[in-house]
Amino acid sequence: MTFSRRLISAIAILGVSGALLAGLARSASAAEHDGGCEGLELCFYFNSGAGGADHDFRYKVPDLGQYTFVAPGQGSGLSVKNNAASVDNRDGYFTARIYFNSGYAGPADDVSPLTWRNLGDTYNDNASFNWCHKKPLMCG
Amino acid sequence: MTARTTVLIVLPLALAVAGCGGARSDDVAVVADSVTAARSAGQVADRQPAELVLPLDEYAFSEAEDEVLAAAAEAAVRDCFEARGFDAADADPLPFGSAGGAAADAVDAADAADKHERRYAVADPEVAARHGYHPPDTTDVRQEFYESHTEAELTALVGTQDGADDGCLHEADEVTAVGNEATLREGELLVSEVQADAWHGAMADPRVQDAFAAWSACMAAAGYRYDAPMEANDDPAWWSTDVAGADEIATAVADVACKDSTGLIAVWSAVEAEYQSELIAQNQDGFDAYRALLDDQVAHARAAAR
Repeated sequence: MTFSRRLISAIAILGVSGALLAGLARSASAAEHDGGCEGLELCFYFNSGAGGADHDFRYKVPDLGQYTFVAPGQGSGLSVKNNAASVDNRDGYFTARIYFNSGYAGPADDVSPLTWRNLGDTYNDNASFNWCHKKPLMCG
Repeated sequence: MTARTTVLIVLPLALAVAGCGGARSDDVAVVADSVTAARSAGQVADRQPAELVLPLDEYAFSEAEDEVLAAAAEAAVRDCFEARGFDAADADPLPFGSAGGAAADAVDAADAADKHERRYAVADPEVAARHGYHPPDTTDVRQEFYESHTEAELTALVGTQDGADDGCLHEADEVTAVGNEATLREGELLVSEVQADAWHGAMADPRVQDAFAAWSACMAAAGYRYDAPMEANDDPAWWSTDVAGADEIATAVADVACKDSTGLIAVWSAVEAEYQSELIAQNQDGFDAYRALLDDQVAHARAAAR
């Protein structure tokens, strides 16, 4: 999906005029937190292998305890914090950095652009996440 | 799980002789209540803690290397963007800095913040007094980047569609790319595993457990009940709001004062460093291969600058 088509589909959901929306991220509220894992989002899954219920985020989150898995499936309704087994990064360029603790504290694990991974040793140890540029390293 | 289990069995024996280095448990009684805790935090406010260095830092780009990478990336993005018919200046804000001397500003900003600043949660008394456990506001470089550019600019910079690596930012990555992507990923995974194993190993280590107990007693004396520092950081009471309330700030101020008076971070980081060193040594060949690939990327960036 091109940026433009992605934007248009987001606008269609919102029912807002496309002329108002010049930038991508301004369409964000249309798509995140709906359980659908779409472009520019980071999606946390209850099960390994991007399985079970998920929650999709467009922006960095200092405490995942404020969110539950929203899509139907195993884990639906449970807190995302410390309950995710896998993560899918659907941003085309930015790396997602997942922290063991709230407020971007503790050590962190990275999920490269357009890849998903099981959380392994960080399994059920995910409390917050930020988006980072890798070379040079710069996190939001 | 096997790796961590091995660590937990083997390392405590090896580390048991090292003793309880930085802990000053006799200081605990000094912090009798939150007022004292706050005063104590104020007294250490001017003290600049030495920047924490952990063994795994060797297997990430240094600040100086990041500067080289930033300069190469910025030059490559601007050249590419111009070649596609845009004004090079319209590439700003780049996602690793703000308009005008973007890369340099970004790296300066990164320099200002110790990379391990929040590793053991809030540790700076001034930050605790202003923000509690919440991280101070920083510019969301990604959001700023996406929101500041037109769709045409984003297509040129990021790519034509989801997953297409034909944007100028990807071209800039190519400048420093090494041929062996699979080995690079293996190295990243290795770093990630050691980081997690060392973190959990240190948390379960008797010396860190003792330090947590001293910190916990200090906090209890100030009126706050937590068994471990990350429990205080992760207390759900703080995280339903975007900014810290009075209770959160008072707790965080006491927390930092207790970390200071019990020498918690010195003990915790020293033990974590020992676990990291041991785990790195167990797979030194893998780490050497990964470091060589990091060096290659920096060498490519330097070559591009000539």
